[in-house]
Amino acid sequence: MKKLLTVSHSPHIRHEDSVYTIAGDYIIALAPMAVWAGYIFGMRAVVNFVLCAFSCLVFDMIYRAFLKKGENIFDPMAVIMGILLSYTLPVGVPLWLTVAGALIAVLIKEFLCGMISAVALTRVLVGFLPWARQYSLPFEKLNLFADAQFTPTKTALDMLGEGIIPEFSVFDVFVGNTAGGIGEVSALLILAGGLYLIVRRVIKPHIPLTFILCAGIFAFFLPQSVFQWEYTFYQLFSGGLMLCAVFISADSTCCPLTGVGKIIYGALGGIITMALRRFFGFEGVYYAVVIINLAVILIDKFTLPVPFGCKIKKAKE
Amino acid sequence: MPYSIRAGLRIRGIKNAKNLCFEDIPEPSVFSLCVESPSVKEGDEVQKFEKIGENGEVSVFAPASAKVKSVKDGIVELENDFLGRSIETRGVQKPLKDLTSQEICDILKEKSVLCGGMPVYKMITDTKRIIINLMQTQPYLCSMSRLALENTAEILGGAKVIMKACGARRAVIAVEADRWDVVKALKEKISYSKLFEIKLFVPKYPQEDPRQLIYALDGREIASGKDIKDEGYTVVDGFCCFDTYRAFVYGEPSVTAHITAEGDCITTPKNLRVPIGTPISHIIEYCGGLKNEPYKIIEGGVMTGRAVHSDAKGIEAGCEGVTALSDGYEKNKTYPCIRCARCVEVCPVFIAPTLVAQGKKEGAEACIQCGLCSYVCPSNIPLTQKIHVLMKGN
Repeated sequence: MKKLLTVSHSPHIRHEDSVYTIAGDYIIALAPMAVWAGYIFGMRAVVNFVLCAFSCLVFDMIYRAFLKKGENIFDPMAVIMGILLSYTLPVGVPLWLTVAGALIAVLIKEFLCGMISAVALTRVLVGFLPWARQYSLPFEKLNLFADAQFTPTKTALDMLGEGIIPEFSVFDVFVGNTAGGIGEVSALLILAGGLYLIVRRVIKPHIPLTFILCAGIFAFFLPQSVFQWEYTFYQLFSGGLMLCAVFISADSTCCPLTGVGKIIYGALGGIITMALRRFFGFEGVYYAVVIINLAVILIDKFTLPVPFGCKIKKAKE
Repeated sequence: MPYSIRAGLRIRGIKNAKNLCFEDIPEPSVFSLCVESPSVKEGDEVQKFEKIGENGEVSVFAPASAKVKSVKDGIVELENDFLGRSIETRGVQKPLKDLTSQEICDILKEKSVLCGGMPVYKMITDTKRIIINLMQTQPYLCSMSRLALENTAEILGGAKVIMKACGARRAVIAVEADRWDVVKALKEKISYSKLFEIKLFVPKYPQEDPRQLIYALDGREIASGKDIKDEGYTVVDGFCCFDTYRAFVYGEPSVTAHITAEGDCITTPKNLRVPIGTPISHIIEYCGGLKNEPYKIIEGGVMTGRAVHSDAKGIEAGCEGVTALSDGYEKNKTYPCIRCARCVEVCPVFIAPTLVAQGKKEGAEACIQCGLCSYVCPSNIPLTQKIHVLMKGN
């Protein structure tokens, strides 16, 4: 034996999943939405998406290289964060706003909370600006690099909030032939991506199921129009609810550690979203995600399992 | 319906030596034994089965007739003189039904029969619940099931001795659910006797731990600070039953270990019966030598075994395998925790390893060091090691 043997602590083998395989699965799940966005919103949407992902990665690498010396520079989850942030923004967002949003997201990620939940908080902060609230019609092509010049249109959600029946049909809203953030429009592709992630065991089905179920039940029993089923589906499929339920809140960094905790988290998210939409009249799903992320510490405290043999000790106290 | 614990994981690992019979390796020329308080000095000549010292409460016996080469630092080196002299040993002459529990414990103490490194006489208590553990769920290791297939009568005989000592009339035999060959071999020997009940367990990883077996069977949680004996259970494993049989029928103390020599660096994996103290290099040479440069040589299984510094180290009693692994089974870089909760899901004692390792929650005392948290972590954080440090610090 010429080389020295390595001596380290057990276990001596590892499962093949790593942060890279998880990030790879996320990219596969998120890719169809980019293709659809390119199809209905044009190249401008793809430019936004690539710019956001790239700038998130670059800012993250700069931060890690200069301020966290000695660790890995490349974090694959920063790319995922950039992709998701671009999906929440409308296509007409000016390019400087995309880059600024990426910078804010990276700062929030490093200082406050991890990876993908920074997206929700960034969207909330960026959403105060007028450019982030103007949506364009599908198939209306925009100039690639100039600021958006288009007639802003209302999403199905805005129309419902005003009490008129939306001009997009339920099927259009489900497939994605409607106005909205470039990744949020297609509920079908989001569900397909979510199913892929669940099958690959990257996320668990608890959060998306309970989020959507609770939001749906709330919308069904407190409708604003006469057509209950259609109202429910419009509420579920338009706006950012699907994207948040499946990708943004199911991200591991800010969700509870146990199954029961995840169910509580998803239910709270669905209810708060619908309450903000119904009673306060604005698209509240990102605010809801921020609120439930803050509640995760409490949820964890009450739902973590008791260690082996300590149940009897606790009962005696 | 096989029994199962709630957590735990089926680890993917091929057992290459599953169908290979045990082979006896030729005696090595040097033995290297760990003895804390030796009772021999340099130049002494010892015979096989002669006591050469103590390791705490456990007596160590010489595995072959040899001359003591050196005694230092707690390691006794013996030079084999290949003369084959051994002490005359005689089995117990009284029939089993006339022996009392105290007499059985005295014989077990004298012959130093071990179960998992601890002397068996300390585990015997007046109880009705006895579990005979024939499971080995770590990847690569299959010596326990080979022993169950080849020496079934000896295992059952040893189990009967332990049952008499505990005063029980029934025992549960724990077998992995996918080993139908073991179940068939056991059923042939048991036939219509009412002494043994075979129960199947799902082969998830830490199921072979005694407290996990009790949890899967009865649902009782016994914390790692408490003794299983005090809760009214006795759990013994297959190697211990085999050694008990040899101690009672032939009077021989246990000087053999049944191991599986495996890993992707070893040319031909084998199941072997080796005398304790055999250097690992001798075992590897018998298996055809090394195909590649090994990155690590591990004494024991890949999940709980200890990596050795050099291949001149001798096998200890109770060892279950020797694994030589090449590079590529471990990852190098560590990323920050992404709270994916895989460790929480898989932990058999329900602590949340990621929170305990970061110091945010207590519970490090309950850890059984199974290694599953480090195994599944996608960020490659050495959780088991961190919790071990916290446990030792308290």
